[in-house]
Amino acid sequence: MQTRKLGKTDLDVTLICLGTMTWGEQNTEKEALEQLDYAVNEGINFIDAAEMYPVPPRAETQGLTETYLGNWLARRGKRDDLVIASKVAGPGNGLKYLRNGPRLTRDHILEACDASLGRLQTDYIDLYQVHWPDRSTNFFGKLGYEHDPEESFTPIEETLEALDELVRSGKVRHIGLSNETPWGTMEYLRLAGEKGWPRVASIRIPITF
Amino acid sequence: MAEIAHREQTGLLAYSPLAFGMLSGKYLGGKWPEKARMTLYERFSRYTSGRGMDATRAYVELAEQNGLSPVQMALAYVNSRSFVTSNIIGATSMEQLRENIGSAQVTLSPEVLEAIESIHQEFTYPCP
Repeated sequence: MQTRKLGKTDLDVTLICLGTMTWGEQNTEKEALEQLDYAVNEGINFIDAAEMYPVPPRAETQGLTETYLGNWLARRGKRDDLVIASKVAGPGNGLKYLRNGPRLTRDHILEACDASLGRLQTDYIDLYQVHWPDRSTNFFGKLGYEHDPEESFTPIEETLEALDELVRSGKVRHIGLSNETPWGTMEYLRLAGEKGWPRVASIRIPITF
Repeated sequence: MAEIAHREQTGLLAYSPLAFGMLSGKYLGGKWPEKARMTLYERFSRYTSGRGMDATRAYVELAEQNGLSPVQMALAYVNSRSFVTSNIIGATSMEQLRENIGSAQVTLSPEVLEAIESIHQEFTYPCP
C-alpha cells in the first residue's frame, strides 16, 4: 500500500486510513477486531479514532470505539508499526456526559488525552487531533459565516499550549486539526511559529463531492 | 484549504469520502437499505437532499458506464488528489471494507477524471 508523509513529520501513513466511528454502534467488538486484522494485513498502518466515538454519540456507548481498538492493540503488540490517531471533542449539544460538556481548555485536553490513553491501552497517541473548533464557525455543513463579536470561546493559544504540554510529556507525538477553517488553521500555524509550539501536521475535513 | 495543505505541508485527512455510503448508489431510487447508516439514523440528512441524490446518480452512472464500482471510483478520485495525505474509509461489513481498501489499486483514466470534473461543475457542492 502506498504511503505519504504526515505533514512535516517523519511518519509514513498509508493512503488508506481505517475509520472507526461505527465500532460500538453499528459494529460489535468482534467485527471491529476482524476489520482491524484484515486492514492491517492489507498493509494499512493508520487508524483514526476519537474519544467521542462511536457515532451517533451517546452516553452509554462513549469510548467504546477506543476500547475495542485498545483491546486489539494490547493483544497484537507491535505498537510502533502503527500510527494511531484520536481526537479531543469540542463543545456540542448533547455531550454533557463528557466532562460536563467538553471545551478545548487545558484541563479538558489533558483529562481527555489521559482517558483516551487508558482506553487505547498505550503510552502514546501518534496523532492527537482537535475534533472541531471551540468557537462557532463553519463546520459540519454550515454555510454562510455569521460573526458574533460577543462570543466568548477558549483561545486557540490555550488549546495549542495544552497540546504542546502533551507533546513534551511524550503522550502525544504529533497534533492535527479536524473540521477547522482556513482562518483557524493559519492561526494554529502562526502561534506555533511564534511560540515554538508544535505545528499541526494534518487537517481532517470531509471531501465528499 | 488545498493551498494551505500544499504550502504549509498540512495534508488533508479526507473523511466521509463516500458521503455516508451515499456514493455507492445504494440510496438511489428511493431505497433505504436495512442496516444502512442513513436508514438507521434519520439525523444524518446532510447528503440526502435532492441535489445530493442528483449528483450521486450522475457519478454512479459514470462509474457504471466505465465498468467501475461507484465506491471505488469515488475513493480512487480522493486517493489521487495531490493535497490528500490519507483517505479515511469506514465500513460496517467485510465486503465493504475489501472494496474500500481495494480502491488503492484503482487508477482512473484521464477521461473518467475529466468526466468527474464536469459533473462537479454541474453539481458544485451539492451537500455542503
